[in-house]
Parts: sequence; C-alpha cells; structure tokens
Amino acid sequence: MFLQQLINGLVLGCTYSLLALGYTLIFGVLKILHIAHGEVFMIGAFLAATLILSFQPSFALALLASMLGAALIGILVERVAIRPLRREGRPLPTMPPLVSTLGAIWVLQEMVIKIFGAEVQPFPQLYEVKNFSLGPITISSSQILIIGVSFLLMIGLQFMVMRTKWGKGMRAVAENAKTAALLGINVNMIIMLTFATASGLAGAAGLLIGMAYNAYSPFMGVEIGLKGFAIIVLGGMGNIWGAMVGGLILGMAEILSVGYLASSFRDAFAFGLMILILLIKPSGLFGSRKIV
Amino acid sequence: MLELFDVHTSYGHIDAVRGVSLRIEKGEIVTIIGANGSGKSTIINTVSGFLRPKSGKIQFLGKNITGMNPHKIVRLGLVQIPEGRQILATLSVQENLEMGAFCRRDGKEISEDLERIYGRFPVLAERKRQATGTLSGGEQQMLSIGRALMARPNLLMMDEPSLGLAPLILERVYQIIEELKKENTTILLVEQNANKALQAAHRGYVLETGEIVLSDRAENLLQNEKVREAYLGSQKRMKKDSAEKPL
Repeated sequence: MFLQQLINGLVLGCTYSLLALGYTLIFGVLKILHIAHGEVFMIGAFLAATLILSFQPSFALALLASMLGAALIGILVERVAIRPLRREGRPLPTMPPLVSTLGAIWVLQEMVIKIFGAEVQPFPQLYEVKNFSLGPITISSSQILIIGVSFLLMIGLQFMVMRTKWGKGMRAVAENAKTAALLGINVNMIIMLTFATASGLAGAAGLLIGMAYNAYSPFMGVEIGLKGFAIIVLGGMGNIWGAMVGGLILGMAEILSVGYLASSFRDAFAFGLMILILLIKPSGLFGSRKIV
Repeated sequence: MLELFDVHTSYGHIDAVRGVSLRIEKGEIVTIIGANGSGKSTIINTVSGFLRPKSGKIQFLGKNITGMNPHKIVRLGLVQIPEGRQILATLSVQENLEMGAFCRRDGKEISEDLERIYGRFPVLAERKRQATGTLSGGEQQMLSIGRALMARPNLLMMDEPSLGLAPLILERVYQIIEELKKENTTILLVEQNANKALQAAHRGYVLETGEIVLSDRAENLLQNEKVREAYLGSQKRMKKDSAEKPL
C-alpha cells in the first residue's frame, strides 16, 4: 500500500516538477513571476489532445508537438506581455509584469474556451493502457511513461543549463544581464530561449497530466499554476534543483495525505507541510536565485 | 580604428559628456584621465552601447556603431573590461572564460585560446573548476582581462582597471597592459590613476566635467604643469586615488 502510494506520488510529483522548472527558469533569468505559466501548460494539454484526436500520432510525436506548440505560446507571451515592459540596461520592474501576465491568463483561457468550449473533456487515449503487477504494487504503462519522460526531460534540462553554451549563457544572464551583454551575449535571445524552454516543459507536463488523469479543461492550469509557484518558493526561487525536489515533495505529500488522512485535506496538508519547511528554512530548501 | 565625433550623452537633464571627439589608431594605447565624475565611464558606456548618445557619431572599423545593441558591438571586436570586474560569480572560472568567447564559433581555436590564457594567468588554470566567488580581487581582475581576451578583441576598453586593487596587484595589471602593448593590442584605458595610465599609454586625453580640455602624447602630459597639478601632484588627491606615490 505504502509503496503504491509512493509510485502515485512520484507520478504526480514529477509532473509538478516539470511545471515548477519553468517558473524557476523564468524567475531565475528575469526575476519575475510569469503567472500565466499554468495556462501555457493547459494549452500544451489542448494541443496534445487535439493532435491525438485528429491524427493518432505516436507518443513521441505528440510529446514533441505539445512541447513545440507550448514553446511558441511562451515566446508569444514574452513578446507581448513582458518584453515591452523591459528597458535596455534597467532591471525589469516587479509589478507590471505580474499584472500583464495575469492578463495573459484570461486571454489564453478565453481563447481556448472560444475554440474548444469550457467543459472538462476526457483526454483521448494514445494507446491501450496496460497494468503491470509487481507484487503488491500495480503500475500502469502511462505511469511508467510519465515518470520516464519527466526524468529524461529533467536530465536534459540539467545538461543544457550546465554544459551547453546557451545554457551557460542563460546562467550568465540570470546572474547579471548587463555583464552578459558586455560579453556579446544577446540577452533578448537568451530570454526568448528561456521562455521557450520553460514553456516546452510545461507543454510536456500538459500532455502527461492529461494522460494521467484522463481529463483536460481550460481551467486545468489555474490550480496547478499556483502549486508550481508554491513549489519554487519551497525549493528556492530560481533554483533548478529546488524545483525538481520541491515538485516531488508536493506530489508525495498530496498523495500520502489522500491515502492516510482524508482526501478533502489533500491541499491543506500539502501546503501545511510547505509552510512548515519554510518556517524552518525561509529561503527555501536549496536557497534562492541560483540556476545551479 | 575607433572614432568619436562630437558625442553628447546625458542622464535625464544632466549632460555627462558634452561634445567629446577622440580617435584611436590600430596598435595604440590611448588613455582618458579625469577626476571622479568627469564622465569617463559615461564615454565607455556610450561607446559600448549601454547609453545612447543624444547626438554625435561613433565609428568603429569604418562602421557607424552609434546606438547599436551592446552585444552587436562586442561582436565587432570592441570589448570592454568593466569597472569593478563584473565576474559572474555563479559560473566557474572556465565558464567565465568560455562566456568571453560567446560570439565566436571556431570551437577549436577557442580551446587553444583558453590554453593560452591559462598559460598567461597560471592562477586561473589552478582554479578552472572553482566558483569565481572564491577568487581574490586580483585574481578576479586577471579573470576579467582573460575573459575579454577570449573574445579576440580588435579594441579593448578598460574601465578603471586599478580601482580597489592592492598596490602589488595594480603593478601586475599594468605589467599585463605593457605585455599587451608589445603585442600591438589596441587599448582605450580609462583611469583615475593618471600617473600609471600615462606611463602605459601612447597618447592621452584629459576630461573635465564631460569635456576634453587637453590632449597630447602621454609623455608630454606627464610633464604638463596643469596635469601634474591636477592629477599627479597634490598629496590630497593622491590619497583618494590609490597607493601611488606622487611623481
């Protein structure tokens, strides 16, 4: 039973991590909260569902398409809601981007509602789900897929940020945009790349959550968006490891509270745990503002 | 190589640079000396694209670079070593150097240059993988110079390289400038430490409240009565400047 809960917690947790990574990347580079990030995730789920309904693509293709589509939406949000607020050589103010990305929430939601309607719809199946029994635990093929893909994406992101030229450029801009520009780094390009990466991860999470819960709706990004934000506070704002571990902690906490306490206390328990951790370590588990 | 024509730059209503014209030829070391607040850094930041001049024109390698984006200016080989060194503390020593070569695409030659920089600054080689936050001020200055050289600059702009450095390290920095001079590197050197700067440079400009009041060969400026009085001689000013002894 407990092992089963851990598996379920892991499935939920690693999709949270994917979403929280996006928040933390954007916060790390721009020092702002992109609160419409949950809506980018939601659009990722819609793109995947639409694609599956019309073409029956392979999983890899559906994943790629939802990531690319969400990345484009993320770039669009940056162009429209954030870049106009930036002034060359000056730090981005805190409040205006908060308001403009808040606006982006409604724009994106309304757009999706206009096209697809506001109801919760069943997520189309990509393939026959099989269940595997390993002693007392049962794990479905989509759970394996979710865990596997999430971890691959996280490893890929870590590799990109730590080892590639553009990832190092991202860390340079995160630390000091002016110095980065002095080194010939195109700061706008790095910001665009950051939004594309963050949104691509959100798109993947959209597909995975859709698969895990067999449902998607225009409002699915709201709650999970707030959770993503809470996770990066828990893990340390702008910290990649913090987002990964924080996501897993929140996922586990939720599932365990459903399993052992009461399902109606799920969020109360999870957030209570986070408050407790923050009381002990106010800067978050891994400290703040370092993309390492 | 670099030429400024009647450049005016202001912060809001304050005119920090008022009609500055100057030029630097290939292989030359040119210094701009002047007191704190005379507009030296404003000139540097205008040339490197962080400040937009109100009027005037800046030309580099025959190209008009007025108001161009900073990263594009770096791409042309006009590279700045910023005041206060501006090391990226969350990146390792090696990563800082790699970032210096960000706009280059010749991977093989980049690693050769990296080895060359490590040869020149063995301290950096010893600390390749270390986070740069642990470096001393002098080591950071070496890293900052090394990082700029990684861009293979056509012209190097140094903004107050001696600021806040212990006398011994200051000597080392100027030793490096001498080395670069022998290698025919073109340098625009902005300094409060006029004595050091004029000894290293071929020519100098004296900046006062945003205007160039004097320009001459460096050895002449070193002998110039006015310059000696204002920037080299008086004990009071020296204390503020650095640990330099008056002439």
